[in-house]
Amino acid sequence: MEQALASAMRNKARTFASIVGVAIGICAVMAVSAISKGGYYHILGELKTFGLNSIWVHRDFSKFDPGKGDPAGTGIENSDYLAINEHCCPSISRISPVVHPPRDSTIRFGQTYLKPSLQGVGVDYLGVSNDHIAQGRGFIEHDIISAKQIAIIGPQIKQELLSAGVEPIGAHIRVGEYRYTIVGVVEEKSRSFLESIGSVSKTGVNNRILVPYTALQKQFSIYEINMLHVESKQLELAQKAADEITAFLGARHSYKYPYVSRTMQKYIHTTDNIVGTVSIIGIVGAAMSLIVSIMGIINVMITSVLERTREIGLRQAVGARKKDILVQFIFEAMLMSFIGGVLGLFFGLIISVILSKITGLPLVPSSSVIALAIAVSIGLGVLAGLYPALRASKIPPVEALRYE
Amino acid sequence: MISLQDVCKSYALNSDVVPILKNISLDIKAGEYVAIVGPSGSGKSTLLHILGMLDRASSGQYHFFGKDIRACSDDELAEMRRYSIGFVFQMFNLMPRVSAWENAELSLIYQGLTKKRRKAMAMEALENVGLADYANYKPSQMSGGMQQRVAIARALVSNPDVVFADEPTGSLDSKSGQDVLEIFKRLHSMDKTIVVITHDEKVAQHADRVIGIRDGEIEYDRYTEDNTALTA
Repeated sequence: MEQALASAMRNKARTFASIVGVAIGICAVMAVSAISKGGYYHILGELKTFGLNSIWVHRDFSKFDPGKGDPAGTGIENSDYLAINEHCCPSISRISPVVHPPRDSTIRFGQTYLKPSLQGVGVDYLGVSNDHIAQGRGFIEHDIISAKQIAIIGPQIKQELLSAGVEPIGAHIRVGEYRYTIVGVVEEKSRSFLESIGSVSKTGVNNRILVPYTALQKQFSIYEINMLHVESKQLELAQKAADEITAFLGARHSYKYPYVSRTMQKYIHTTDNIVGTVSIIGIVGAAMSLIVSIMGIINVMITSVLERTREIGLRQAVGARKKDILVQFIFEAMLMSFIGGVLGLFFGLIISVILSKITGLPLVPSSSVIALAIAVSIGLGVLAGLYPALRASKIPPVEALRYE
Repeated sequence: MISLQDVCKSYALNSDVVPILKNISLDIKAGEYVAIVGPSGSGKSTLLHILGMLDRASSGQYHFFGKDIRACSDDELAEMRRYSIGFVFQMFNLMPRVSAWENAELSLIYQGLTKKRRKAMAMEALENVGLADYANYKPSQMSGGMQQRVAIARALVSNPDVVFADEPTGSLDSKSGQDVLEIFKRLHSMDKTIVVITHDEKVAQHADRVIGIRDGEIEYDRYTEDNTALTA
């Protein structure tokens, strides 16, 4: 071991070149891994704005055919929601009804007209959709039961109010002839990536007005729910929860209506696939540079074995076994690669930090990447040293001593 | 101590088998100072390599302290070289980038001794060849004669039973050559067994016994007279 260290120090320039090679390789692997992981968590972060465990259940209107005498209606009544909430579906943790206004009505405050997305929701809606109150309060059970005419608004609407000189909390918004008092503002949500790839419509998430669904039903004299927004207990249970609800709804309505459900799973899988593909491409590229650097080490080691043939003979003459020679050269290669790996790790971490600063992607510090980089550099070093070391150990002592 | 019987060595060159040593039989007793002389190509180096267990005989018997060397594995031979044999080469074969004492300690590394112990033993060996003050010098900072003395220290460091020297004065000026021979003489007086290969009659005269080799065969094997007179 000591011997290897000593001789690695001897040919400084050559050793340095191969160490840098490995460092670049490891650095590239780390940068790719940091970028793809950062990207993954960025997209996942946007998906989280929907609530990762979210499920949407509504009547399947694609099968609706009035000519066939299909029944009208949404197929979901308040009693369905209450029944599910009370005693159905073990995979569900929370559920909220979603009611859309059945017809357009002007929405304004003072003389300012708004084009928000107006939804009637239940007490658990904010929780299910992963919304957080930035200002004021959320809905409580009593608000829903008594169909209070109050509203929670998105940050975009808050801005419109503020630019008109109105403090949002306590302000009134008119929907048709009804007046809703603003009690809360939700935090801003970012879906810029999903919007940019067209997965999400742009009139969206920050432009919402949420009111108790009971109030909206009362205003428009409707007794139905358009959609159930449900949260499963775990991501893995999402499909199961969806099946439980559609089965429950179907049975309650004697199978008059078909229902359809959507979960986040599809989107999460898509994200996995995209990021997986991107990182495979990157890793292959980075692996190429690692392979090149390993070739460099093999080259250096073969040269080193040739140059030190007499030394090998001498070591055999003073009693080194073939095994000792083998270990010495493998250790030398491993040492080079290891030092390169540590350097690469160091610069890779720096690059990851810089990248995350520039791109705003989250820095994902991963001890597994560090362990992997070290393990890979040691492993590749051993691999690179194997052939030259075998060659060194197989030189007969007499020939090695005679070598010029 | 050393006993060769009908030892032959031949190399395959293309399709021909070239004999190098032909039926060499000889005995060397512990404490003897033997010179093997002969022209180049006579096979004396090959004989030394076989004696030093760096090479194997093609046929015949080799016993070292009664041990059947031809039956030993490579690792066993390495072990014999590590503990029982010291080599001195014509070209010194020092590692150029490490100090004198780090050259001298080499065989001790393979004995698995601690660095502290190795250094102490290397320093002792360097003192034996008069180089205690040069322990931290690198070979490039030393004369040829000093380098060869470092090489001798390296051969002696493990206190071997026998020292094999292959043209030890061949690369040295006559003064340095004399120094080396003085060391051998002193070793001999301490009952070390020494086998020197040389083509230099003057070097051979220092030995108790001279074995002449020609064309792979022993030409003569005789004891010298009182050699102090001859070297004067």
